[in-house]
Amino acid sequence: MILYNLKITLRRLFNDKAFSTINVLGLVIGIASFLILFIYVSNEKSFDKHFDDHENIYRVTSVPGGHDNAPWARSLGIVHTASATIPEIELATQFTHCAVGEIQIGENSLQQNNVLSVDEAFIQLFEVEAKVGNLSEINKPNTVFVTEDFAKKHFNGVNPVGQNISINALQYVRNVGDYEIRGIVKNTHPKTHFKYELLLSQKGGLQERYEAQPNRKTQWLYNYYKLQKGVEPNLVAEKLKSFWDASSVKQTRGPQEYNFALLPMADIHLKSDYRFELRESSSKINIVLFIVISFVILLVSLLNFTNLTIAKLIKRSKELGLKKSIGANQVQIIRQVLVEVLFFCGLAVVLSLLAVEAAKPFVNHFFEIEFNVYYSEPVVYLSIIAVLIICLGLTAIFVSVFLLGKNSTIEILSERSNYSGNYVLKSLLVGQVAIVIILMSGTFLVNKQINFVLNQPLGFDKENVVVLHSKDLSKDPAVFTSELQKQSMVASVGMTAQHFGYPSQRLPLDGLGIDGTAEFVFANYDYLKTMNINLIENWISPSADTVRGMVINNHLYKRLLERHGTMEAVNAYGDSEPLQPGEERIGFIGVAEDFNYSSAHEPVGDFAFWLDESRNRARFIHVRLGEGSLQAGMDAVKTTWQQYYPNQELNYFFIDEKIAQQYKAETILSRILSAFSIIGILISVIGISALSLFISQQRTKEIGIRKVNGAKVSEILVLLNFNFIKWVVISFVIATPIAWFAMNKWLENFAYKTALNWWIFALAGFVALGIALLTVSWQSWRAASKNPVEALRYE
Amino acid sequence: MIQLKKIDKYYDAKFQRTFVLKGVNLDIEQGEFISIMGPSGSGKSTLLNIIGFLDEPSQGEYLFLGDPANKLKEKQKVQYHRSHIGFIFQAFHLIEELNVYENIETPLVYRGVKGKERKALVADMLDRFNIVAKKDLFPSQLSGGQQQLVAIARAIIGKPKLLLADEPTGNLHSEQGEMIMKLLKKLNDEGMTIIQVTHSKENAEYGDRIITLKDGYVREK
Repeated sequence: MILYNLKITLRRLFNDKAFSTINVLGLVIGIASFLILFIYVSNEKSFDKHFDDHENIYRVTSVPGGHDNAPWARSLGIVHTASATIPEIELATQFTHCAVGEIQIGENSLQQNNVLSVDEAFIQLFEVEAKVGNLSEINKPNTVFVTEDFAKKHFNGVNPVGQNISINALQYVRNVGDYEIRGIVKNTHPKTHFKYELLLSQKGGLQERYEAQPNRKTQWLYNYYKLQKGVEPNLVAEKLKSFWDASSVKQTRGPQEYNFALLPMADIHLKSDYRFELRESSSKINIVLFIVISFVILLVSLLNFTNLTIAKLIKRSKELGLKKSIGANQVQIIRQVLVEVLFFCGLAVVLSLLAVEAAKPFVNHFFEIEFNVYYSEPVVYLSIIAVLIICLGLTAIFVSVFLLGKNSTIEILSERSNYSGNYVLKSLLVGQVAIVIILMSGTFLVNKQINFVLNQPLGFDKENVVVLHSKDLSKDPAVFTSELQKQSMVASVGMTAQHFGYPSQRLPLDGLGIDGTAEFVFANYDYLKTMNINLIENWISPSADTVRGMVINNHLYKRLLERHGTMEAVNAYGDSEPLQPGEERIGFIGVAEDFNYSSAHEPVGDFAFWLDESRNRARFIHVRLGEGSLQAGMDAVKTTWQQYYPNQELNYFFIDEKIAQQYKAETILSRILSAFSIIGILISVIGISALSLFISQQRTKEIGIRKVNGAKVSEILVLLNFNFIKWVVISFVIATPIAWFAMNKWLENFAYKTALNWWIFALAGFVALGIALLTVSWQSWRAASKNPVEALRYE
Repeated sequence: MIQLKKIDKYYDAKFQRTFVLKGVNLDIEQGEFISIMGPSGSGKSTLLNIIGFLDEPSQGEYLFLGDPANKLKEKQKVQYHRSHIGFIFQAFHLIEELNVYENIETPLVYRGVKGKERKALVADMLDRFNIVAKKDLFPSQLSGGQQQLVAIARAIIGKPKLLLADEPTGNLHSEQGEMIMKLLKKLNDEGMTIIQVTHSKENAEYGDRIITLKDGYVREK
């Protein structure tokens, strides 16, 4: 019987190629989109879960009191010291991470990403596996382990063990020394919240720095604990706090209070978006939205599929009725239809898997996500089975409701049922169009918000500024910058130790009589000029040849005035505070307009520029190029760089791109929403056009009669379109409140939000209406322009 | 075999009841060949459909082999369709996706007949109707007469006791029509009860008895 049904299904598939293609295509688009998003999300959600004891591993953070804004993933050195005194901790590791450093192999100096300096506990905790060598040698001074990829890239099959790598620069250290390669380790598991290419020993070149950490209030290290099974992380955090309270470090200059917290490792990738994350984390809200979107798209395509299936059934009702007359019972008929549905779904799933594979590079490139299908993981198969069950289930329910609703065979045989009067079809189409309207208005809003945050006044000018990453500070950068300044293409050059978007440093404000810390960056005065940062107050003495001092932002300025009344009082208060050894006083020399240092997710906080001309400020050289000559300007910069740093690769980026990157999550969301609205629209167009084709076919006789009696083509178009307009209007009414609610929720994530205008919904509604009208009109026009004689002969 | 007592069939519209059949009394014995005649809209097809359990009477009693039909459950109706009743339609109603062989085979599939037995039965039928050479053709490749031949083969492969034919020659040339009528007559001679609806006086004459319907009433001649 199944075989018999399958045979009919296959023949029908080939007989009605156009319909089959449309039906399967709609489903394939939907299922492929669903699989891509769903598998992506499940990948993101399974980060770090491949570690055996991931439930017991925690990252420790220490956030200075009074400054909960923008916490760091790094923590105090004392966190590691404390671990020895807390018995609940099974294993503790500390390590440093350098996102971009510089190494030298032989004569070649290269940029190197993801350099970690680690201890043996790290190897154990994160299950680092050696392919060559003995990992216990990580304890020996100046040893390094490289990954398979690194070995392949730089040594090309030759065994690198015994070779030397010079570490020229890490994040804050230069000339760390020569490291001997002692082995090769497996590449980092792709679903880990960090990535390493080089694992350095903490002994030797970096030893001094490590030893100094426990006595400092700097946050240079990443600290991870593995707790014993069943231990409450809060308990450990409390013990850590007591250890801190008893330590002598607490009493030194700087914040006294720190909030210690343990975050489960498996939560880092999705839930933590701290400064200095080891790897870009995913936006949690996006993940939630992606799940929603993936199911919505699946739903749209299934509604469409069901709709077309039922429409086709109506067309075939004669055949089904006939089968009843020759002895098929209800169950056999439903079974036949379900076999067909299953066959179509199965075919669609297979095709979607191929489509997913084919689309993978494009998806990764366009959405800037890391999407991969790990066929070894059960989630892939589970989601496929889920898709099949949902497909079959949903279609089965609607089809059965539709089929069982017809009790009289003769009614089917005489084709008394029709499409336009069918409520199942109507509600399916309305649901589908409503979803598309929600998706579209969502897309409009997300784009509007991104434009809003990218184009709101930043307090500085982000256009045409290129940032050069200088690594060799042994040469005086001032010579290089003045050389650059001579180029006609270059408008101005400034130096800073951090750029916008890069985590800044912390300045405790207790010395000025107010709570919390301000973010601050080292820069020189030319930097402010280069970035076009306006000074509201300028106390710089015009006669000074070097500018030294603090420029604070308006936010901090207002807070200081609120506390002290006048700037004189502020200065007097600052001067009365005793100086710690090695500290010097810095005066305030100006007030800058407020600007967004990080992103519009966070409100503007206290901020300061520490201006001076010392060399260490020159890590990032900001060059403002003359307008309109970007290419020529870059050429000039490159030539100068070559002359001045002949052996160094030039690493640079444009500041506006960097700022746009802070909204990467939103950009990805916007692209995904746009893509999926288009897919949704596409599927709906397929559905509407097939449905209107059916309807116009069924009304052929009516159209013919109307034309014989003098109706114009345009009048018939109006007649046929009117139904669809009604449906779109109903969809719009359903969709608008849902969309409005969802968007309001999403906007709550921003400190600065765009307005939720009425036109967003109106536009979405009109686009939906326009598309429906175009599609329907095309089919209706074909039906309406037929010769009425032909139309009437059709009966 | 079939007893209809005071059968009414009507459709209700707002304030009006439209009768298609009114007070139809009819007795049909096993082995009869009945022709139902009458103008368009006189209720011929409806009557046939009621007899074939494709439609239900609004009122009245219908006994099929002594069983009251209005008490039959869906399951029993399916059973009757499988073993007692065969249908032929004016528009043939062959399944487009199936070839001649498979179309004839279909009722057997629904009846759950085993593959080997099906093969034998279908081969028999093809042989009998002289269409062995056409068994792999699809309905669209056949002439009207041939299609109706296949439809009859399909209708009688389950050896029904009753064959209902709704204008079997309506879509055919007279020559082909005559061929079909002769075939029906032959089936009747072999013992099959046949009820046909027809417009043609000539074709009606093949029957033992002609029943004329007019405006829902029976006028038997």
